[in-house]
Amino acid sequence: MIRRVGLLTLLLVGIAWASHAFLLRQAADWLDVSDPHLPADYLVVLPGSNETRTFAGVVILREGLAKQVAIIRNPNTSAVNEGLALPTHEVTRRIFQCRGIADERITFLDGESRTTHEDIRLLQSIWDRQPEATIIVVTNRFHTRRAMWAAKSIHPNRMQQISFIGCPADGFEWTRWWTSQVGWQMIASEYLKLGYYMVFYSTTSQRLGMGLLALCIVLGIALTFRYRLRRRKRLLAEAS
Amino acid sequence: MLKRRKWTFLILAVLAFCLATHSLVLSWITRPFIHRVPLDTSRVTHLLMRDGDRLLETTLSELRPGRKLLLVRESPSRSEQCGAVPSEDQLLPELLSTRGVGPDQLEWLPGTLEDGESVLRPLEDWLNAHPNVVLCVFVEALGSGPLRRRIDRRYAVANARRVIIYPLEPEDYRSDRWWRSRSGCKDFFGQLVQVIVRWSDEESEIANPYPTPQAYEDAFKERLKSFDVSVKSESPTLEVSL
Repeated sequence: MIRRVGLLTLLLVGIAWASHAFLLRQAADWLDVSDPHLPADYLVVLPGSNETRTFAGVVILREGLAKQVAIIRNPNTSAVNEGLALPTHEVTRRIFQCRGIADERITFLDGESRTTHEDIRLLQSIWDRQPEATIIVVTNRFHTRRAMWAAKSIHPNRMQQISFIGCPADGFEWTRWWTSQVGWQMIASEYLKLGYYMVFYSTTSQRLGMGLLALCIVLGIALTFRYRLRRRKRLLAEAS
Repeated sequence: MLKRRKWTFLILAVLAFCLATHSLVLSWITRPFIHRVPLDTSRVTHLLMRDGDRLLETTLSELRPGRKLLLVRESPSRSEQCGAVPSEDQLLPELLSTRGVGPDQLEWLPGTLEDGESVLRPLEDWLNAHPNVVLCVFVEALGSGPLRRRIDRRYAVANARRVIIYPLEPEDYRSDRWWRSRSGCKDFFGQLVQVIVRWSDEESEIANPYPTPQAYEDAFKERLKSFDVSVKSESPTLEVSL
């Protein structure tokens, strides 16, 4: 028995080691759900990484793949209040201007947001003005699944009008993310954040689905244990 | 029946125990993250601003005559390169001069930090070149413990002793009770991830070069093409605002 478990563990460890690059690449790819429907009426750049997302947004606007950009405001940080940094939305606006986007195409969304969930909630103000508007959301590749998860739970009836495109992040190579600290920081922490979102920001049907899945897994484990325990008892009884 | 009741009681007892002791357990986990020792800043000759709430305010309150502010030059970000935001090299001295800090009170760390590079390496060289300075580093409270340990591990004892870590308490929560607020949880989680990912390597290496604004946009164009989005190949032109 022990030998069998040991061999199986060794085999699993060997397979995992041999295919770790493939598995880790798949783990990152799973986070990227980019599927842009272009052209769109509005471009929304999710705050969080002005150095990448905004420049990707510039390309979409410049190529005429979106008519307007709607910028999301964030509450001021301590550094902004002290004058050490500019507000994020102001930096976003300035980047668009400096990269040649006309002022008429730049608008701000109503309200402020601190999280991805709140960012996606603010999109409603676009549909309040223009119910048929289509939106392309730009964020980093690893962040698209969480953004889409938030969109599905907040605007389930608008999913035909919203699409996501992920842009590359700085500091690590997507196909070799595990070789860099930044990669670990981004990809591994994104999984934890996604888990948080799945627990706290889900719709009833999403929760039911996850609950059922969890129940199946627990039941499967419990039944396996029960079966093995009974078998062991039977074997012991037979032996004695 | 009796067995089931026993299990229920056991689960309830475990839950009650967790509820009763969670504060104690989390405090114990938090302890290595916060560097809490009585601060003796009387010997300090230089101050280094890194991050944290009330950073400028605290630095200015500690910037007494005879002390200097050590500034770090970092390579320009993409938004700086395209002129969207002023570079920190300009912004900080200007801001400090409006708060009464003269240029004679500023000292620059030699060289320029590349993106993702830790300041610890050039700082060590600087400390070696200036054997009489005592440096005070301002850092957010939850990051103070890991920074202290990194310095102690990396620097020679004499150099490590000359670096004082000044933890800055967050404005919206108590760092030793971070679990009571959402931003506290977020900050602690961020620090935890950093500690975990640093276990293998002290310095953050640059995995790929940071492209310029134009190079980044060109790379993104290629990505758009991979989704069968047609993009123009000519160089960008400025739009004229009406």
